[in-house]
Parts: sequence; C-alpha cells; structure tokens
Amino acid sequence: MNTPKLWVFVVLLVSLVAVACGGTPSQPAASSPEIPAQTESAAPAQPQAPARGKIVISNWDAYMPSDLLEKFTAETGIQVELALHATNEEIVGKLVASKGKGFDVVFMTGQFADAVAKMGLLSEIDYAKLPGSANLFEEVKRIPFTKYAVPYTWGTTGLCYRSDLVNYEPDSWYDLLKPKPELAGKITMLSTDRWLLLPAQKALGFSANTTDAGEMQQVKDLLIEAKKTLLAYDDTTFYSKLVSGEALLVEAWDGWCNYGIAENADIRFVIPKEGSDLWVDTMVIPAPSENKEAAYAFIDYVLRPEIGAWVAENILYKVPNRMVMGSLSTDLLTTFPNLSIPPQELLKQEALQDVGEAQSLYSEIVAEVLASGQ
Amino acid sequence: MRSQTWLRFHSSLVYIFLYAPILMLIVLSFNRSGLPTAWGGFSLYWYAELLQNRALLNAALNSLLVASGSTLVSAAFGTLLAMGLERIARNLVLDAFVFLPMIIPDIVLAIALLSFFTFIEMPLSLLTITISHIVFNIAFVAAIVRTRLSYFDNTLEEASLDLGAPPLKTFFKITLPLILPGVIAGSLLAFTISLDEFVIAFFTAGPAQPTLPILIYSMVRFGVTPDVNALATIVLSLSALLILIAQRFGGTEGFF
Repeated sequence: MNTPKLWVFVVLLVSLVAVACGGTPSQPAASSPEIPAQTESAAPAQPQAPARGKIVISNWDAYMPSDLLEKFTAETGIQVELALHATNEEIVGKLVASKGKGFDVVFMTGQFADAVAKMGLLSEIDYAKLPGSANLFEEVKRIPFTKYAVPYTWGTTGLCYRSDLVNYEPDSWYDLLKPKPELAGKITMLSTDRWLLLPAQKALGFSANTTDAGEMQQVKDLLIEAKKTLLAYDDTTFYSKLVSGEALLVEAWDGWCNYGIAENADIRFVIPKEGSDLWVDTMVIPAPSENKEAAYAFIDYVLRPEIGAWVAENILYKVPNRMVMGSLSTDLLTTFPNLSIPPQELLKQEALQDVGEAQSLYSEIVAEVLASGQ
Repeated sequence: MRSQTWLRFHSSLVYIFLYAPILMLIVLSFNRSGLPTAWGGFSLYWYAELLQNRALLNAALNSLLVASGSTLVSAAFGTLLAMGLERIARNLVLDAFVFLPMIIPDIVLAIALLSFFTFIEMPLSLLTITISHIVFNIAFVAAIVRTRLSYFDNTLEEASLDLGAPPLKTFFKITLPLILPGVIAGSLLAFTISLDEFVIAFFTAGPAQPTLPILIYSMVRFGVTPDVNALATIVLSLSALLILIAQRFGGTEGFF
C-alpha cells in the first residue's frame, strides 16, 4: 500500500524539480531579448527601417478581421502580438497598473481613452502620420478626446423593439422608463454604468456627462422607479431576448440592435426624441510605447476602407469613414437601416466623455439602483 | 426510516441544483443549431468546429500549462510550509500571513502582482501567470495539508528515527504517506482554482498567450461561438476523470 503511493510522489517531486529548473533559466532567457531591445530604442541613430520590429496590441476578440494581423505583417514586416480584453474597465485597470507599459496600440471606448489620457498615459496622436485619417468624417474629429484616440467605430444608443408585437411606435426614453402596461416586465436596459444612467439622464433633459449631484439624485429616483417594470439589466443577450419575444422593448446600442434584426426583420431601432449619446470606439497609443512608428503604421492600416467595410458588414457598426459608408451595398443598408444614420445626425447626440471626479458618484448611484428593491 | 427518505429527497434536490446547469451545457454542446433557445438536433458539429478553432485550443493548452505548473510548485512548497508552520514556528502572526493570499480580493492581488512585475521589468508571459497562481495556491495547499498534520501521530516518526532511519527516509517512508491525502486534495483544489482563475491571469498575462478564461471573456462582446460548450464539456469530463482517479488512489480512507 505504501510503495505505490511513494512512487507516485517521487514522480511528482521529480517533475516538480524539472518544472522549477525549467522555470528559472527561462526567466533570464525571456527577459534577455528585452534588454538589447531597450538599448536599441534608446540609441536613436540605428540603421534599422523605422516601421519594423514588433508591436503589441489589445482588442476585443473578433472585433477586427481575423486575417488582419497576418496581412499587415506580410505587407510591412512588423510583427504583431495580440492580447485580448473583455471590457474597457479591465484594459484600463491593466494600463494603469503597468503605467501604460506593454502595449503599443489599444482599442477602447472614447470616454475611457479620455480618462486614461488625463492620467498622462497616452501619447498625443499626430494625424500627419496617419494619411488614412483624411477619410475620417470631419465631425468625428471635433470630439475633444480624438486628440489622443483615433476613431475606429461609432454609434449611438436607442430603443430596439419588436414592431410586430408592440402596437405603437416608441420614440421616447419614457417608453422604456415608464412603459405602457402591456410592456411592463418585457423591457431590458443596459447594465454598464454610463448606459444604465443614460435613459434617465436624457429623459430628464440632463447632459449624459452631468456632474451635478442634484440632477444625479433625480436620475437615481427615476431609475429605481423604472426598475419595477424591468425584465433585466442586460448587456450581452438583450437582442436574443427580443428575438425570442421574452423582451419587447430594450435599450440597445445601434450595432447590437442589428444583431437582433439579423434574426428577425420585425425588429426596429429608434433614437429617442430627447436625444441620446454618441459613443466612439477608438485606438490609442500608450505613452511608454517603444515602437510608435510601427503603432502608427498599424493604425493607418486599420483606417483603410476595406477594414472599415469589413467592420460595417460583419460587426454591423457604423464607421466614421466616408470611403466606407459610401461603399456599402444597398442590401445591407436596407436590412440594417441604422447603418445609414448620417454623421450630422450622430453628432447631434452627446459624446460620452470622462466625468472625472463624478465617476465615483456614478458608480455609487449605479450600485444603489442595481441593489434597490431586492 | 422516514427521515432517511427525506434526506434522500433533499440530497437529490441539492444534486439537481448543482448539476442542472452543467447538464444543460453538455446537452447544448450536442445541439446542431448552436442557439441556446432552439434545439436543432443531435450533432457532433461543434466538436468538429472546436478542432478547427486553433485559438481556443491554444488557450486551453495555456490554461493546462499554467494550472499544472502552479499546482506542482505549490504542492511542494505548500506542504513544506505547512510542516514548518505546524512544527517549528507556531506563531499566530505568521499563520495569518500565510492565509492572506486566500483572503485578499483577486483584483487587489492582481494589481499588486502586475505592479511588481512592471517594477522588476519582468516581461509578462505564461510564466508570470504561473508565478502569480503559485502565490495563492501555496496558501490553499498549506491550509489543507495543515488540517492533515494537526492530527498527525508524532510517535510514528519518533519510532522510525529510533529504529535508525535517517530523517529524509523517515519523511518519505512515514510522514509523506500519512499526509499524502492532504497533499493530493490540496493539489486538486489548487489545480481547479488555477484552471478557471480570470482576474489575476488577465492582469499578469502577456500578449498572444491568453488562458482559456481570458479568451472566453474577450469573446463575449462579438464572438461567442457554441464550440465553447464543446470545449467546456471536454474539460469537465477530464476534471471528473481526474477526481475519480484521485479518489481511487486515495483508497478507502478518502481525502476530504
């Protein structure tokens, strides 16, 4: 009885030693290429082509064409390592903890880029190095945070509903917050803080970036009241709930409403008459990046119309690039009408920006709303 | 007799509560339509898809590497730590420090570890994830091994030493076999925690080598595919197998 047990433990111990030994030498081996790389970039007059080397980017999974990195490397010789993040909060947390080190290009939503830029972790974008940015709509470049963040996609938030089961045309945030009796319990709202607050902020006529404590108190009260008629706070499956009929009216990002429309043509999207937000997903270059030339080359590559067209056709998001939006097929635009919301219309909505100190008030109110009535 | 019927009823309810969601996942992995809402017929389609999904398989492999590496190291160090604490340094403060990594919120530990790796300029990779997992896994192994040690009969060791066995031989012949169930239970726990740990892995991961939880979370926004169900079913079967083997190996005395 004892012998086999001992045997297994010896095997365990030996493999352990192997792992320990394997681990230690690989540590300097992994870090040693790092050291010459640093001295290289410290010496400016290296006879190396500027747009060579390796960059590290971070993005959501499947948010760009799967062959993009391969093609980019084939064309430019720049190696790309892709890291993945699931939420803006995560990648911001990681950037802050590592002081921006480790990444050359990061995809994140505008208001988060705004916040990270205020911490001094982003490098200012030199649009002269991005010939492709000439195709960006002038309107989008007027948003202040584009100084640090290159727009990738943009859109707004509105009401997404089953026109075959809702017998009127919702057009107000109050249709969501104070629904007609037949819609009670068949409504979902987004659960990420800024979008959870948005319907009430806009319904009450406030800014989506308000920092006024009194206004936020009213927002909180309205949201707590609205919770009584809510099916769920849902960020990821609300369009499936629409398709299955479990929900009839949901707060949705325009692009995500399209995912519902793809499965049921009776689903419609509308921007409420009180106005809504303008969100922009962007690409940023962290300040400590050691290969900014390559980072610019990458961003410029992503700005190409064919990449934007892929995004519009596959992610069903709008792209702030006139070459792209002009090239989309009429079929696509008829199926997904919100893809053709013009930039002027989008720009009437309010761009979400970092609210600075008030973020803790926002988080507090979101927590109170989520916890209420339980 | 009557109370036994009730107990049986109660325990089957508990089992249903625990396993119904998992069963659902297994069933869905064989669903051709891929939608959670509609049954499209039995099919192995998503398993075939999974074999094509290199990214997902690589992530699974990365997770297994991290979990086995961190388990092996923390099993050894955790056991030694438990013995040291039990025999040499019976000290409340030291005790508390050992359990700290179990209690600190993941996010705090994650940020601390990332700041540390950034400070010593260690490039992030699977190695940094493994090291980070060892940090809290040692605590779990030590905690479980200590429970085993706390009713350890010291006279057995003394007898062995009296009869002339050198200390090392005594350790391998007497001490280790007696605490082995604790070591194995601790290792199993460490392995499973490491396998599905997300926050710390995300913060200490380098690019290009995501672990399985990192990849799956990042898919949530645009690309969750039903082959994830297939992969989860396979991982689940492997873990079940592992536990069965471990229980057999522990003999009749049981581990827990």
